[in-house]
This record gives sequence, C-alpha cells and structure tokens, in this order.
Amino acid sequence: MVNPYLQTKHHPTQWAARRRASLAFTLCLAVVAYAGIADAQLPFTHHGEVVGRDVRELYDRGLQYLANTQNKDGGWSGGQQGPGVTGMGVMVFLASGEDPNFGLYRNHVRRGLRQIISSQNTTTGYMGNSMYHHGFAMLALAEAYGTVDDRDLWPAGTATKGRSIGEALELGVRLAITSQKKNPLNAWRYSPDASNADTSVSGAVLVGLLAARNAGIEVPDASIDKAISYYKSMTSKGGQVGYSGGMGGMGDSLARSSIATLVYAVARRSDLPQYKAALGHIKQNLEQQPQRWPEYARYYQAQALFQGDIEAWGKWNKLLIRNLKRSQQSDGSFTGQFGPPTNTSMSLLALALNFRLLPIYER
Amino acid sequence: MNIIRVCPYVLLVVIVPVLPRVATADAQAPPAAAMVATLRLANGDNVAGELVDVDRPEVIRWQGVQFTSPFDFALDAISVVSFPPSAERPKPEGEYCFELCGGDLLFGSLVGLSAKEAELDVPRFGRIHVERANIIRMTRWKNGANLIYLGPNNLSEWDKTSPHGAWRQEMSHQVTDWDGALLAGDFDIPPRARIEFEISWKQMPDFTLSLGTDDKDYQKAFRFEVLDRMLVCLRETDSEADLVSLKDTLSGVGRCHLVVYLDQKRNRMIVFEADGNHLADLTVGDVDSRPRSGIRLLNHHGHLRLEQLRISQWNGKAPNAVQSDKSRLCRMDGSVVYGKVETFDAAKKEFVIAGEERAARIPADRIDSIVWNKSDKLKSQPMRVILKDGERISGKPRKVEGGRLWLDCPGVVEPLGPRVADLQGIVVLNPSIPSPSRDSRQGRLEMAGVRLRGHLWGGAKSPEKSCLVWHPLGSTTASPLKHGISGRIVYRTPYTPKSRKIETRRARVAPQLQPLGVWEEVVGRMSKKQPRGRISQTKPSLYLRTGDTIPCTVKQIDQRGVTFESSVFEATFAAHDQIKALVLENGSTGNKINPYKRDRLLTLPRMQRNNPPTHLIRSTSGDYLRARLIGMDDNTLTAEVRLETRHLPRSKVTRIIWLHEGDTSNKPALEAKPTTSTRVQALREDGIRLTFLAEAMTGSTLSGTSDVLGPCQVKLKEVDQLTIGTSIEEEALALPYQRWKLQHAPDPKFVKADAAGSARTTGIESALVGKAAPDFKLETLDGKPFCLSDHKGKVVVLDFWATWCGPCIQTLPQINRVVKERKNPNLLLVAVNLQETPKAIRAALPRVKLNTTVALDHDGVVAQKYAAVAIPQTVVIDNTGKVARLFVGGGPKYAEQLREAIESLLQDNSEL
Repeated sequence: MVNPYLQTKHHPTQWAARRRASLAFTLCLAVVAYAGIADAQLPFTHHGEVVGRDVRELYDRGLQYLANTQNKDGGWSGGQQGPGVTGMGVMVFLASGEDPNFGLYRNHVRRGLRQIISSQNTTTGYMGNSMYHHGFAMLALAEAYGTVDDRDLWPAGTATKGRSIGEALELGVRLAITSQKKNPLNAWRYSPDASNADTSVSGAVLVGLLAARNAGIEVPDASIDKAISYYKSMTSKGGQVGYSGGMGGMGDSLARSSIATLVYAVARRSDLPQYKAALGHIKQNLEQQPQRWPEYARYYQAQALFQGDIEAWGKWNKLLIRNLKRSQQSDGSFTGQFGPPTNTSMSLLALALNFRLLPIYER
Repeated sequence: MNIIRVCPYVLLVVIVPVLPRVATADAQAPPAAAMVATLRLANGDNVAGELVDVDRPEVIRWQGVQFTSPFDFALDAISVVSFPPSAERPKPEGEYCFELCGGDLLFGSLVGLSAKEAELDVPRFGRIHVERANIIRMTRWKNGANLIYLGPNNLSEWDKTSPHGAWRQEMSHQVTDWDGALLAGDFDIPPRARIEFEISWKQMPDFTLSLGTDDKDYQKAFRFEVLDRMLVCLRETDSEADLVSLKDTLSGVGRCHLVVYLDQKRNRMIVFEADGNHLADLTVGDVDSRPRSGIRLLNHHGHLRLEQLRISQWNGKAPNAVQSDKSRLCRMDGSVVYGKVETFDAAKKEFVIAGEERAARIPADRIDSIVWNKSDKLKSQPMRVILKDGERISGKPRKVEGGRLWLDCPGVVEPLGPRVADLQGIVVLNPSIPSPSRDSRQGRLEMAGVRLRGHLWGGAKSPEKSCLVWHPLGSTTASPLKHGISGRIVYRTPYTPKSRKIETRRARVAPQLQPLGVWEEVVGRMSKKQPRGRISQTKPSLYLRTGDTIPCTVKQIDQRGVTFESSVFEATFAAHDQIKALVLENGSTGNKINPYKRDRLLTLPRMQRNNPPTHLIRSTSGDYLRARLIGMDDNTLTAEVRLETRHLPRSKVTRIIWLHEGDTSNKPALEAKPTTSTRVQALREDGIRLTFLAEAMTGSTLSGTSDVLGPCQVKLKEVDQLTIGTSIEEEALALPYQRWKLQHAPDPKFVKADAAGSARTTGIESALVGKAAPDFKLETLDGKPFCLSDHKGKVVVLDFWATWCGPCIQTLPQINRVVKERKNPNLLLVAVNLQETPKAIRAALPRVKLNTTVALDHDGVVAQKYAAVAIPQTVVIDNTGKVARLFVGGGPKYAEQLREAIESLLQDNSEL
C-alpha cells in the first residue's frame, strides 16, 4: 500500500490543491460506503462518524496544553523527554485536523520536527536516548512525510540547514534495520547494539518502520517478516504476549497484546492465528485498565482495536472518552508516570482515532 | 460509728477542690474537643464557647462557637462552666494553704494577723485582707515540697479506664454511672504516704477503692468498700484480715472526705476524717510486704464521683488524735496546743495563742497547722471560681473585663480578679432551672458541643449569619447561627422506622391538593396531617440523596437528569447527582433482597473498576442489573451494560438506584462545601422531608429555596425536626436506598504491597520462623550428598526453585549474587530444585548463572517440610539451626530484604 500523499510529494506547490482533492476523495468514499452497506457494521466504521463536541473539546484542551508548554527548541520538558516524546507531540498536532502548513499549529509542528531531526546522529541515524525514542521519532517523521511542506522547515538564513524529513526518516530506517540485523532475535531493545530484545521497544521501532514503508521509504520485506516472526514467537495461544522471553516477564499485559495486534495488522498479517489470539485477548478485556502505565496501554489499545474490530473499538472508545474527561486537568493536561507532556500526548493520540487523520490509522 | 457527713449533692460540687497534678513531662494533651470551654445550664443544657467581657453583675456573657453574637445568661440559670485544662498546670505556691469558710482555698504567706483580720500575700492577687472569722485553717504547704500527686485532673492520667466510655471528666472530677467501671493507675505512692481523697455519690454507693496496689494483688491491698450498706476499711491477706466500719447507714446523696496515712512497710493504715477526727487504725500483715504504688477504684453499682486525690510523702510518724471541735495549733513534731491563735508577730515571726490558762508564743517555723473554730457568720455565695492551680474563691461576679473575672468576695476586703485564662471552672452554688416560655414552640438545638433548649426566632440571612436565630432558655439575648454549621433542632423526636420493616410497609394514599401557588402548595402539602412514618416505597417516587422524597411520575430520563410530573410539587426536573433512587409505576411490593445477594450486587469486580456501573435496575421479577443508565422514555429504558447498549421495556422496570461515583460505602453521601448560606431539612411528622437553603424566617414560617423544588416554606409548628448543614447527609444515610453503595472487590495482597511500595513479606510471618529448621539429606546435582545438619554453625540459605518458574529464574541469580558478594565461608546457598530431572536443570543453569550447590528434591518431601507451597521460597537458617527468615514470591525488594537478613545474622554471630 502506498501512501496517497506520497504520490505528489515532488510537487510541493500543489499542497493545498492536493489536500482538497484528498478530502473530496474521502467524502466521496464515505458516501459510497454509506450507500453500500446493507445490514453490515456501523455505517461510520470506515469513513467518519460525526465526532462529538465533547471529544473535540477534550482534544482541543489537551492540544492547547501541548502548544503552550512546547519549548523553544521544539521539545517538551517535565517528565520523559527526547525525540520520541517530541514525535508524539508532533503527531498530536498532525492528528488534530489543523492544516500543518497553514493552520494554527504550523510552527509547533515545524519546531517539533526540527528538534527530532536535530537530535539525529548524522552518521548512524540514531535518534534519541533509546530505541523507544527512535521508534516514535520515526513514526512521527513518517506521518509528517508528505504532509508537512518541509521546504521551509529550516528557517531561511540558518547557517546549518538540516536534513529534510525524508532524508532523516531514511537515515532512521537504515539505523533500525542495521540494529535488527545485528540482533540475534531479529528485533530491538533499548540500545541499537542490544543483543536481546523485548516486545515493547520492538513495537515502537516496528510501527515506525511500517509507517515509513507506508510513506514510501524502502524497508526490506525481510526486515518486517523477521520482526513479525519475533512477535509470533512471543505470542501465546491465549493472545498474551511475552515481554522479553526467557528471563522474566511472561505475564499478561494489555499493552503488549495490543502492540502485537497492531504490528500484525499494519504489516497486513491478519491471517496469522497469533493476530487473532492477541486481538481476541484485548477484546475480552475491554473494561480492564492496567495498573501500571495505563496511558501507554491505551495508546496501543486504541489503534489495535481500531485496526482489529471497529465495533469493539467503538465500545472501548466510549469508556476512553469517559475516563479521559474525568482525568483531564484544568490546564488540559493528563498526569501520570511519564510526566504531563508524554501522558497528554499518549492520551490524545488514543483519542485521535476518533478523527482518523493520521496515515498510520488507515485500515 | 456514724462519722461521715451526708450532704446534698449540689453542695458536693461546691466543695470541689480542684487540685492539679504536678505538671509532668508525660502529661498527655487533652483531646481537641476538650480544648473549648463549656457552659452547662441548670437545666442540663450546655454550649461550647468562651467567656466574654460584660459589665453587668451576676451575668455571664457567653459567646457560643456556632453563634454570631453572645448570650447573656443570668447567673442562677447556670450550673457550671468548665474551661479546658492547660498543657502545663501551675503548682500552687506559697508557705501556707489557707482554708476559708465554705471550702475556699488560697495559697500564700501570712503578713499579719489580728483578732479581726488577716493580711495575706497571695502571689496571684497580691496583698489581700481577709476577715479572721473567714479563715478556718492554715496548713504549712512549703510550696508543695512533699507533694507527689494532686488531682484528679484528667482521665488520661490513669493507666486503665474501662470499659471504654464508662468514665467521664466533669471539670477535674472523674465521674461514672456505669456498673463495673474501673480506674486503675500507678501514682508513685511511696512506702509511707499520706493520701487524701474525696468521693461522692448520688444514691447508695457501692465501690471498692484500693490503695497501694498493682494490677495483680489488688485484692490484698488496704481498701475502702461498701459492705451491707456500711462503708468499711479493710485488708485481707493470705494470713490475716481486719475490718473497721466507718459509716453504717449509707443511702442517698453523700460523700466521704478522708485522710489516710499508709505505711506499707509496717502494713498499717490510719484513717482520719478531713477535719482531724480519728476513724481507724489497721495493721494487717502479709507474707509479701513489697510496697506497691498504684490506686484502683472500681464502681460496682450506681453513680460515683472522685473529686479529690492528693498524695504526699509522709514521715511515718502517726498524727495525734485531736479534739476536732476545738481551735488548736499543731506543731511540726505532732504536738497540739489547744486555744485560739489571736495574732501573728511578724517582726519576731511568732504566733500568739490565747491558751486555756495563759497566752503562748510559738515560732512560725515550728507550725504545721492552725485550726480555728468554724464560724457560720458568712453566708453562702452565689458562685465559686476554681483556678487551675487549685485555688478556689467564692463570691458575686461583678464584671468581666480585660480578660479578668472580678468577684466581690464577702470576708475579703478587696475585690478579686483572677484571669479568665487561669480558670478551671465556675460553679454556681444555687442554680435554678429557667421556666420555658409558652409564647412559641420550644425546641432543642443540638450541635457539636451544644444542647440548648429554647426558641427559634425570625431573622434575615446575610453573608455572615443565617436567618435562624436561637434564643436559649435562661438567656436574655438570642443569637443567629453561623453559616456552615451542622446539627438539628428537635421539636419532637422523629419517628424512625426500622430499616428492615420499611421495605414491606404499605403506603397510605396522600390527600389530594388544591391547586395553589408554588409556595402555598408546598406549605399546604406540609400542613396536611398524615399518619407518622407512612412513606411509601412502592408508589412512584423519586428519592433524593438528601433524603427528600418526591411522589411523581417520570416523563423522561436523559443525560441531564429525570423529568417528572408530581401531584405534590410543581418542580419537574432533578439532576442525576441529586437523585438516589427512583420507583417507577410498575413498583411492586417486591421480595426483600437477600443481604448476601445485595452485597454481591454492590461488589464491583476488579476488572470493571475502570468502568463502574452507575445504576442498579430492578425488574418486575426482582432481578437486578448493574448498568449505566443512558435514558428512558415512555416505553424504553436504554442502558449501557459493560459497554454494550441495551434497550429494556419500561414496563418491566420497577426501580432504579443510582450508584454515585466516589460514593463508596465508607463515605458520607455528599461532601460538605463551604457556604455562605445555611441548608436545612424540615422533617414533618409524616416523614416527608424538604431540603432547602434557608433564606428568611417570618413569624413561625421558614422560607427558602430548594435545588430541586424551587421556593419552599415550612411552618415550624408542623415540623418534628429541622436538620441543619451536613447533618442532613449524615441522617440521610439511615434512609431507604441510601445505603446502596458500590464497593470495590478487594485487591490481592501483592497489588496492595506493590501500591504501598513495600515488600510483599517481611520474612518473619511464617510459623516456621524461630523454630528448628527441619533436617534433610538430598543428592546434589554433582552426585554428592547434602545434609543440612552437617552445616551447623553456618548461615544456610535454602532457595526452593524450578526451571519452569519464571519468578524463580528471576530471583535465583539475585540470591546467588547476594550470597557470593559476602565471600564468607560460613554462609552457604543451596538451591533446592523441585522434582526436575538433572538434564533439565543443567540446561537452565547457564541462564541463571548459578554456581552453587543444587540439591535435588526428587519427591518434594523437603519442600513439604519447609511448607513450600509457592515458589520461589527462600529460607534463611541461622548458625544455631533455626529458621531466621522465610521469604516467598520474589519481587523487586527480594534481594534487598535477603541482604538485610543475612547481614543481621552475620552481625549477630561475630564469630562467623
């Protein structure tokens, strides 16, 4: 599947026209889809339910918080920080529906992207304190690639003009593939040179790679296949997904089962029994909230359920909205173990499935 | 013998010597509630507050805590005022203690003495002149040099007060009405002690007071007891016994004020009356004559009041018996000179005594006490003031000014003005009960620290005060209540149906109302006489969280709340957060729900904690459904059941109960919010409740606005009770449906431990800890035998594990590291594998990086011996072969705990 945005990437002057066309196409599909349903699923499953005002307001308050607290360098401080955290923030802006080139958050998006690219090692392509950051940064670059007009990403007159989004993404992808090749388990862990792996870090990197591939960056099939094999080996028949295998942590985790569901789905491997098992497991636990890092689990649950079973997502999403409404702070943020910026970004990205504006959400 | 004065109980309060305990470092702070002064009226009512300035004689102006302006109580309407004890109470200072007529006490020195007048130097008041006839006795005090204890002061001074709540503190007295009430404590009674006590009672007393005792041998102590209507002193030991009767016809109100000289070394007790009359002298030996230092007071039956307890050192010299009716001078050597002491020669420091034959001069420093004949010249006074250091003065209150209470004390030339801050209590000697007014309906105002009968007057509310103005009986003034207070005004004790019975109580049809205006309608409704306690639980009604009930038919339920139609109220809407339950038109009498079923219904499974139901929906067949109510119209109820939307026919639903978020069974229904208005709930005799913000009181009609019902009016004459503030919610808890609250299923222990950040176990919970470690002999992985008893003298760590056990594989390397890092030859780790083949174990060893002895528990017998039902289990055995710690379950703090355990064991055994 080729990202539709990518087809016109080399004609940046036509940004506005292309966005309009794209929107028209979407609406057209919506009408066709609606007319086409007989007694199937919910009519809005694929192409846009009217988003409730409360959801919009919830999102906008959080968005406003992120806009207000973004540092000059484009990142966020207070809790977790780094290119991965910045990447999530950028995705929140991209998912908001505001035009990234002419809209309200144009500068916030650009500042964030510059921070991500600046953090990248020019030789190795490594972005961040860990492969978590690298994965989320790749994902953000991939989502921005083709959407954000990066001809003016670096302000005119800047002495050191940085890489374009595409260049940075390609470089990042190369690092991820190299790291995987060196890894005996064909997956990833915190360090790019790690010799072991876990399903949490690997999820961040693999989703980044899949998004890059969807955006048109070359990612070898072998790389995806091997990573999927790693996940297969970590998925039990009951749909529980191990953490790092062998030593430690074979327990249940909704976050890991969601990650596995998501990577299988985005890699177009919904034929796998492991996919069905993992999806079944998270569908059975729609009401469950993990004790630890609930925002992290929600971030993946939203996408996994959306990809796997839109009806289940619809139910789960009601609960998400209720819980987020209750926990949103007066300044629009969400608090938690990662610190307000990361927790806010993760919470809003879980909610962003209601808008479905990021390419990675494509089913 | 007939030796004990029996006097009216009122007087008993009067002669209260409030002698404080000598301040000690371990004096416990009184509870916060006791830090507020309390005024008690003659009719038994009370009000917490403070004494404020007043310039009128014989009036006490009292500012109640919950009132905006003070009350002026006529002195005779008051019974007593108690002030909170201070943390450190002063010891009375002075060379002498002067006892005045009527029981007053002053401490100070004697400056001059004539036949008419004595000049005293009292540190608190300066030099004062007291009529000689007003002084009964002066005793050498020496600044309390021999004093060990002065009291009682506070119940916390006693080591044991039982049962809980049996004893109460009234001023400094300790009082009980409970049968079997016990006070016991160690009071450091020396082997030779002078103990003075004063006990009073309201009816035939029945108590035992043991002196010089402890927790165990109180039956062998010298004691005072009531036997067959006689007060006796006695002692019974294994070998001897003796008993002396002190008074033989006890009945009604009475008291005893005795001075006891207790010589525990010689097993002797001498008893005197307070005025010097000798009563008894007992010597009863015991095999064990160890002196004991405690006191034990047990009230077997009836009312008992311990008023005074004074313990001091005694030199062991028995005081001489005296002729108690004669004026006399007692020297410190015990000798007595009879005759009236006429003057004091200040220059020579000598007392001049008019003897029976000739005048004698006796140096002041040899005087122990001087006693004059009682004089009845002075009349009893209206009021006595008791000070924190034990001084007491009687007189007429003149004014309160600048933090001092000024008294005119007959027999004392100067007015005396003790500081209010130094007061322990004020006792009115002849109070009279104020007669109730018949002008308006009398009620009883009850709040924290307040119980005042009186009348509710009209007023207008302002941001500072409510429109409720209270005029207590006995006060010439009335005061508005502050906003934000809670309590109730009871006009008639409301009918309280028993919760079990109300479920099946049948309704009476409410009378039809005439179409009136909103206010009139409510008033009209409230004024209709209805039988008491006849609220229907089966008629269509809306039950609010405040306890209000609205008979109505529901039109619709949506996200905002419930829209209804009522034949009683004009209101048509209530928001969800105001509602507790709804009974629909299909309401049947229903089967009573089994309490177990109800508990189960209200217990939320852990996995739904993230998505709690907000309602319980009951069907016509008695089934309940936990759900989230979305809406209801004429035909259908829509609810979300575990994220699925369901539609139910309305005709099948009888009741809906709201389960409010955060409204768990341990919390009150609603939180109190700071407010500038006062919320009241009028409870009518038929049980109808109406909650509203009180805005004005006109005549006997209280009006205001209800959140739900709009403008409201209530006529006081039709109200059983007016509940105020958060008491509304507290009382609502007892009403139907209010106890239906969701509770969370308990978390497993490991979740709680993780949440608390603590370790799962401390290692000493197991019953094996402290016992000898069961010996065993096992084959090891390398084929050699391992026998535990061969390693006595070493600290042995046994870790029970298996390769299939994830947590074991995590913890075993940690344990190995902890043991190896000590590099101690007398510390040994043995990994006891449970029932696995050597092949499987060898395959796993590189993964766990283990290089220690692995013992093979082929049949699991050793694991059984060590009660290893869950692994990993780590047992630490000390060098004597005893189990010192037993940890189960691994976890983040496992290694740290083990390290601490090993280190402490190795330190304990320095030879290791």
